[in-house]
Amino acid sequence: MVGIRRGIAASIAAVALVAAACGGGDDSQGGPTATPSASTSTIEPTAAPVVPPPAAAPELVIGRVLPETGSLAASLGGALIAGVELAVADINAQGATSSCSPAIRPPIRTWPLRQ
Amino acid sequence: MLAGDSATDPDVAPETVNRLLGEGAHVIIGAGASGVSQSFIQTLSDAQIPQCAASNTSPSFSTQANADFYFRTVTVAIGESQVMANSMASRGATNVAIANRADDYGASLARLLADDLAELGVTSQTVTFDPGAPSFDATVAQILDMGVDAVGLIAFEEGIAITRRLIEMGVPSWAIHLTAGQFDFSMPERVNPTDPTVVDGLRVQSPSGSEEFNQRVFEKTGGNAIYGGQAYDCAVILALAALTAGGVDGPTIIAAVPEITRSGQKCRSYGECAELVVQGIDIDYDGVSGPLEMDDVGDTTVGRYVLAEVRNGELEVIETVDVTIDQ
Repeated sequence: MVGIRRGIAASIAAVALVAAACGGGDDSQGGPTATPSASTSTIEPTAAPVVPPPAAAPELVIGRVLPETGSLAASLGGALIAGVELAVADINAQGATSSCSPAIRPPIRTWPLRQ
Repeated sequence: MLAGDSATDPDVAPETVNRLLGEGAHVIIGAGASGVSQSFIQTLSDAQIPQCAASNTSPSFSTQANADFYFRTVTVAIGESQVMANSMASRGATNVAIANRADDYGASLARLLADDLAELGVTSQTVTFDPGAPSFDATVAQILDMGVDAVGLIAFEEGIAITRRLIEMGVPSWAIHLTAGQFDFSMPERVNPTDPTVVDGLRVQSPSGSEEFNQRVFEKTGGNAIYGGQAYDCAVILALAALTAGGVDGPTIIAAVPEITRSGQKCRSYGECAELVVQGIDIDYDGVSGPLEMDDVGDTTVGRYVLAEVRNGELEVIETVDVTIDQ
């Protein structure tokens, strides 16, 4: 089994990088959190102020592949999708309101659902 | 978040994954079914894209080589089989019919349930059914011929029709125990819309979030929270891993994932954990689906389950239990 390798050394280095970004970031930037990539894309509304993360902060794009249709849509699909949506909302809100905002601003880019 | 439909179809899901990767997804959450996840796990391994599954309970992922970018927030099926076996044994079952859908999920859970029942001194017999069959009369007839005193039904949506038929044929509802794919608060009235109390006594368990979190899911789904907590924790772990790693490339994220849920300072939300991460503190995220405690191959070793029973025609949670999987 290959499995997931523990990346302790890599993680320590990365934490230092993020922490440095936290201390030196500019907290006064404005503008949208998300970066629309297509003409159909809009930014989902969030309760928190939207500020772009500094260059060192990761902006994670999550793709979810879950049963909207098919045999598991009724039994599993709704809660699975709701769980991811609630998490994205919480992460963006909690990241945006954190006291150490440059490093932990919303790391998740959001787009409206595409069919 | 980029949204895609797996369609519960191993022929469709890989196309959806390719679209999402083309649109810039750094990580993937899904699929819902183990068999569907298998249809694109090799693609994600080759592309070095982390994949988190919230509801894949097949043991296969724990040992296959191409699961190197895969992890999950639900315990393998043995967690569910233990909860189910204990519940059945506690109600006095001595000889159980295990009816399972004919797929990887059904077969693996049936084997585990039989083993767990045997450890508790309960004998079992197995019958397999095609979940797409137009009628389940033959399956129910087989169960009746077994002369059992309890039925463990491993199914998804088709479980409604099977349960209805079992009760119509005289099987006491309290002798029926369902698996997670049938956990739905509307289940009693779907079995019998005119008198859901005929289902009283039936039990069902499911991997679950905390009761508080489940209420948030209920508001969105109207009554089903199955695997919602596990899906939530997939997203939080991936975000914390990216934050810890300081980047969004797959190998860096996946290397950071296991440490997020073990052997550090406890934290219970993205915001709380992120504050610690930026201070350089090793974190141990306890999610809405439990302590998680991920092992080195990306399997969650502590899973949270709810056990529910139909009372007065309504499904009521009677117990929440965290199950630790022996390594």
